[in-house]
Amino acid sequence: MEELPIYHGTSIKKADKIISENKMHYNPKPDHWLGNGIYFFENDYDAAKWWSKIHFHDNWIVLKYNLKIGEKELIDLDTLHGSKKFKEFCKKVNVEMGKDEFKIKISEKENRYINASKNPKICRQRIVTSAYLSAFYNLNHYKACVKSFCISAFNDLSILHFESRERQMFIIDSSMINCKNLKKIRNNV
Amino acid sequence: MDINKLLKAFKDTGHELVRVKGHSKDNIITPDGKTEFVKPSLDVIAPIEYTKEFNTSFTKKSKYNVTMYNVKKNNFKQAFSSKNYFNIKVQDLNFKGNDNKINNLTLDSSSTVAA
Repeated sequence: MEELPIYHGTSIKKADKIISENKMHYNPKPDHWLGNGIYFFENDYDAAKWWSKIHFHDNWIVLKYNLKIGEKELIDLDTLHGSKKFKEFCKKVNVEMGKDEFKIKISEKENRYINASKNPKICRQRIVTSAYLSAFYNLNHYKACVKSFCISAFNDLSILHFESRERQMFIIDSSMINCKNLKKIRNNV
Repeated sequence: MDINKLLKAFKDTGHELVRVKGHSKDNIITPDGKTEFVKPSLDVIAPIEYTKEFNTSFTKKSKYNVTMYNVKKNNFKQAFSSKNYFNIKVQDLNFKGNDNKINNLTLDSSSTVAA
């Protein structure tokens, strides 16, 4: 069992509500990049602060949690092992789907969502990725997933081939978080 | 992998894999976006962009010059002009102030003659 410090950026009001109600809410969106669930930053207070300041300005706050998770409950898509496992799953799906003439159904609601987005092509792609990932988690009984993403806003040194990244911890099973143990942090340094 | 187990894994998470007549292995959507369905599905198809000219009356004799996301122009043209699809009715053409995009193109499945 591992213990990982994870950070969630939010507003002061929402943080108080989460702790008092002992429940974390999320807005389901069909194109969430890792699926529908709760997003944290792994071991990165600064990333959570940066994110919450963008969205909540002066009302930003960061919630810290020490996540206890078993090795088999977590899929790390940054590792070669994790990414290979997901790709193998996709290939198997495609072989099976191809054989039996299946495709992922884009619902009318999702189609409307795609049409309303600024970049329908990327939006559609994310919906498909999210569908594959969700089925992958479900089949393997994963409770959380980690994957890093590039933060373009901080990549002013790209000429040196040095990329700023944030590692997102996506909580699939919300029962992994005991909100009573969330710690509010608002450190301006 | 058991196909039923796979179907269940998608269904449990709110996604549906649907059987589509006429689809082949090469027409499947993948996360890397390299392949897409070529023939229109029997329900709703993705937003479409047209290139040079576009004839809104989708009839057997119409000429199309249309591209669909990740689908080559010729494939789309082939799919729509294919005799297997000549009964397709197009509904709800919605330009939403953007002359370069058809926002919602719905196929009338009742009139679709699949391959």
